[in-house]
Amino acid sequence: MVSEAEKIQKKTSCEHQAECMKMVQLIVDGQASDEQINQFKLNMDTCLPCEKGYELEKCIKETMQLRLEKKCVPSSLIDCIKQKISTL
Amino acid sequence: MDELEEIKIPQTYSDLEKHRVFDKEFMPHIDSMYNFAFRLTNDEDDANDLVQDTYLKAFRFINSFSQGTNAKAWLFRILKNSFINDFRKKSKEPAKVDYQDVETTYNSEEDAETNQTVDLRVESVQDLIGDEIANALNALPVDFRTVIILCDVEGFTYEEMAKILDIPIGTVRSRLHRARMLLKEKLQSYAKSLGYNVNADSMAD
Repeated sequence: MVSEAEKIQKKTSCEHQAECMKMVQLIVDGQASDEQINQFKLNMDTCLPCEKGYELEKCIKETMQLRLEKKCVPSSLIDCIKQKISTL
Repeated sequence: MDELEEIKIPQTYSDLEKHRVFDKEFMPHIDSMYNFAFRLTNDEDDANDLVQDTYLKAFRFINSFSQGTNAKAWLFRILKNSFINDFRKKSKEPAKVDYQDVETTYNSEEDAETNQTVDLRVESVQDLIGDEIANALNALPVDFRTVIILCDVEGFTYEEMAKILDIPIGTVRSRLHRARMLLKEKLQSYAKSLGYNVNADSMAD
């Protein structure tokens, strides 16, 4: 008989980590199918390295999207391009 | 102009149409283009030159562009090719390359599924400021930096990236995987140097 505590105990090492991390990449990049996403969610419920791997990849991706400085193109560059285009 | 060869049916725009297509389809992407150019060159003047060169090429070869197709990907492809073919050669500051990094990463690019782990905590990443993130990204060899920018910053799909970079989708996946491993190593170094306890992320968390 498996106790409730044992049932929710997540494994602390993943025997398929290389494959799982490839799946994590597809998921965070929005390139995985619904079936792949559902399958990985089930896996995350039982595997701590996969859960942590997913959280870290998602965090890094969000960090790249949100915290890298977005530079505005100089208006002088736009003017210069338009001026050159008008002479072509 | 091999970057423009994939278009099958050339258009013939009138002068008026050329300017209208240019303004409507190309100019809305100029901020993204400038940021991409800046991330490739790490220099504002160089980014200016690269964007200007790209837009002039785009106008000159506008008949190769079909309205309603992916203008952003088309422009990014021209910019990337301009950077590789023209700009990199005459750049006043040649790309800083860690040849050991390149050798290691290229040798293993097709074997990117190798099980490597980097001890890095989500909390450590969240504590890093924008400049530290940018420095870690800039420390990557340009091909790896490029896939991360295209995917994470610009949100291109793997298929679009394959077209922009002219590589198979499988190579996009493996290059991205390898790039992220390298990025994590750089972020880990930053977090460590700033005193964050990067590998205290025990399974007991």
